[in-house]
Amino acid sequence: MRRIILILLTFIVASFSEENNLNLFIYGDVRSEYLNLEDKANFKIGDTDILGIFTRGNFEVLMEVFIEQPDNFVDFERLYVKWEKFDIFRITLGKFHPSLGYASMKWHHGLHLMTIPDRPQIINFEDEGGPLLAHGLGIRADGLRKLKGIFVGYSIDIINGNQQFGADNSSDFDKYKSVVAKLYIKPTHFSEIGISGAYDPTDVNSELLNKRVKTTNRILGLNLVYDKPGGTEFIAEYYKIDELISDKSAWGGFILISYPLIKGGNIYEFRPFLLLEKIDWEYGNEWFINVLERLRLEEEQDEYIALTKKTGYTLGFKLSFSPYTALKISYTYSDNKDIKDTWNVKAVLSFMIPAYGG
Amino acid sequence: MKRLLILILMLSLSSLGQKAAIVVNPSIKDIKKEEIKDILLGMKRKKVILSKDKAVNEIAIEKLLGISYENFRVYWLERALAGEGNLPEEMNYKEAIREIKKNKKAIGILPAEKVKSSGLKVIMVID
Repeated sequence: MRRIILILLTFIVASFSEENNLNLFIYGDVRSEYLNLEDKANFKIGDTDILGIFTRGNFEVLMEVFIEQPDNFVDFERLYVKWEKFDIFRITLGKFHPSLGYASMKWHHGLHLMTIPDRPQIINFEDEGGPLLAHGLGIRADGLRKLKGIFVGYSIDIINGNQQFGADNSSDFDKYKSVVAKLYIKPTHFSEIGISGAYDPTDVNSELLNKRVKTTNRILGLNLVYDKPGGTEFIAEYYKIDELISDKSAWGGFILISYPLIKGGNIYEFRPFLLLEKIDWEYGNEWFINVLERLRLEEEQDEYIALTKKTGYTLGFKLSFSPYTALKISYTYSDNKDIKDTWNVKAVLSFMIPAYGG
Repeated sequence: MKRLLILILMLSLSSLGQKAAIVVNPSIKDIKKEEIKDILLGMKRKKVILSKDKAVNEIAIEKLLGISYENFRVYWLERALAGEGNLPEEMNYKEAIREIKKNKKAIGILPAEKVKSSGLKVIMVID
């Protein structure tokens, strides 16, 4: 905690120079959920996220500190330095969101900015059962260039192993590195068509063989996006995950559609949304078996259930009173293959505090 | 009460005739409208400086980009926190003129009447 306060103070002191630009935000939420499987309604304090971005000249530093409930566990979700002298070639060193899809790169733990209350399962965070690489510690090269009226971009990451088994926030547990890459075009300023992929080897504990075995996930992702500020939001993402050693695969994805039906007046924006999501794992996948086992041990029961074969339908709205506060209400029905179907209702009051700059 | 109403009326009238100027360092060659859009939306990296006068920003952003200034701020907030550059800075016109004069990579949206004899290159005036 002392280290985080020191970094925050350094950020603020550094901003006193006219050439520097610092912005600091605090995100959080309070929520109530009803889960039919447990037949109980809960009130919860959500997680708190502190996000700071600092730029000077060609350098940018981003810091995201996350305070997780119920234990007030403090974690650096992102911390990196970026050198960006040229649009076509930028280098990032540190911990960042790997280059997979669109939403996973755009969204973070400040859930307030999302239309939906929580992330779709396929792109969920590692500790909530997400199967993809949501965080990575390493190096990135990326760039963007306009060619004949269309922006073409790329991003290549070399990172420590995935944070399910291969690594944690500061170090690698295995000898492997993961490679993630994305190529995309932006036909208009607010649209994107992208293809991304990852090669992700990790050692896991095999229940069948009772020893550590190597698994290698090969991930292919596709995304199609139209995301106009204050207008239509359409995000479709598809992922195929092949575990090359057991030759078992998985696939999943989601489609999110939202549109602001009411803008202005006494409210800032009323935005209904529809989220369709799918996740389907082939049985016998050693990596996936270990994800389930880890979640069971950590008693992440909701995510354990969510991770089996399921199709989810979520309907809801985000009622923004201002850019800083919003009420999100959603109803989700999950058509599960291995267990009986489930449903839940969520009401989330989310907020953003511009703590400095902003 | 009457004084307050007169003050509000005067403020409203003063914002009616507002014009926004897109300005750059005098050493920069002409920039096309499409390139200004690319820069304002962060696709081409430059330092974007906005006016402290919200009405001036509203005129320029709505006319150029077809989105409201509030949505532009949210767009940049999302972009910045995704790690795609920092939020544009709001400055008073004196600070902004000083900054753009010394920074060739800066572009500004400022009140048109304040930049007439500033020495900055006016790319476009929007009303």
